[in-house]
Amino acid sequence: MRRPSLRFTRRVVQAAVLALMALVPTLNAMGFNRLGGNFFYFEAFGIPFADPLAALQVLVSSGSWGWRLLAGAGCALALATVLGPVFCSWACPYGLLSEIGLSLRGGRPGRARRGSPRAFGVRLALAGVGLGLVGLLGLPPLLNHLSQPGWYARLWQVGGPDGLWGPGLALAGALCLDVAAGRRVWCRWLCPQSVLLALAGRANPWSLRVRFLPARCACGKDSPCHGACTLELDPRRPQGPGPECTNCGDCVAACAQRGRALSFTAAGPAGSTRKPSKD
Amino acid sequence: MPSVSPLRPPGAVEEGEFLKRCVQCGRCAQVCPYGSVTLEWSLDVRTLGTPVIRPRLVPCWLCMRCPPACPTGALRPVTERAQARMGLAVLDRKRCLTYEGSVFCKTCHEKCPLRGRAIEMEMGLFPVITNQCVGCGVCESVCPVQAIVTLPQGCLPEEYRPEDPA
Repeated sequence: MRRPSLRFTRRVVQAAVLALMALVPTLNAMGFNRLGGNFFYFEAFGIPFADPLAALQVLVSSGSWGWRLLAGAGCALALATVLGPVFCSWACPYGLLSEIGLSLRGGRPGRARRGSPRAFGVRLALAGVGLGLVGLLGLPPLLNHLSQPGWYARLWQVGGPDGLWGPGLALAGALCLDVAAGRRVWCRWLCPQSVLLALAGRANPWSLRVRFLPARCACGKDSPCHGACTLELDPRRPQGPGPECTNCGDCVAACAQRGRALSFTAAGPAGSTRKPSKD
Repeated sequence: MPSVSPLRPPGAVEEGEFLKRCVQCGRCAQVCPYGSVTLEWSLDVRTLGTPVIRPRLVPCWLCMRCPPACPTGALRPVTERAQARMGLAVLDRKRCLTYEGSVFCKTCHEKCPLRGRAIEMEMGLFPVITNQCVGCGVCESVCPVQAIVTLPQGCLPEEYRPEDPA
């Protein structure tokens, strides 16, 4: 049997997370409490996972050390330090929804669009300013309301008609924005939650990332890899796609049928992995 | 701080501090076996996603499973019912069937989880809510004429807040 492609595997994982979050409230209602929570804080068989930005907001606002919350944030950051911000492309329900929305709109594949490099800075500023205000003014964790995965989980947690139209509206609003623009505006420009995960990935030079070997690149001006990236990142750079890359593997898959110049690596700083060119 | 604080799950810290600590994970709502704790959906961004209890729908039965489930300390990890400190029930004697003289109802006293302590029967007949009441809302829920309302902790003046048992 053929080994399933990376893309297929990723879709399975995304769908599983989507289904799990929908089922957890029902499982809990039936008395099964070994899984519980949402994207702000989740407990799986006693192991905590938390949105690092949510945890940080609670910490700076109240000064209290909820150790399970902080341990959960530590787990999430540890994962991101090793694997990069894989949450975005492998677990985030909004990641899946926006990818589907974009592909239904049709227009992404093949055409390489340059995503503005300013987007990450805007997200970083949003997260930073929000965190600052929450801490200085002693506010509730208001940045949680900018979490699309948070809204997705609320669809199932709030329950009843309120659970549908309220969170549904938030999700639909972001999706409409993305589909109308033809690009993943929310993920690139507005999502504050992913910022800490991306920074954790970059803090570790040996984190999983996409490596580009120029000597193997068989494409000239064309850039199917760039066209394959739903975040409009350009993989054909010495440092690879950059800190925003969520390790989805779409560019790697696109290149696999061509020169195989793109691959995943955890081998360390870029200088040590580049093969000498033929001349 | 919102002008009217909602009724929070047992063990909740003071409302202002609660709003800072609650990460809106919904664990308390998920471990509640009765569906008493629900997550607020409202246009107030400060309370949106936080857990509330509406006794007239489903009161809190003081099983005390939610405080240990809270990962942030928004709910103090208490296990004793008397430490729940949710609020205080208030009885409107003009609506109460017993005070009105039509029937000796006793339902609130019978159903009170802190039986005999939070609601005492004056002369064996007339319900009086004492300072042992923790504000779970069961009496409000079972009262046949809705003569009781549960005031959340955050709405009470300091001197009316339930005592912290030594």
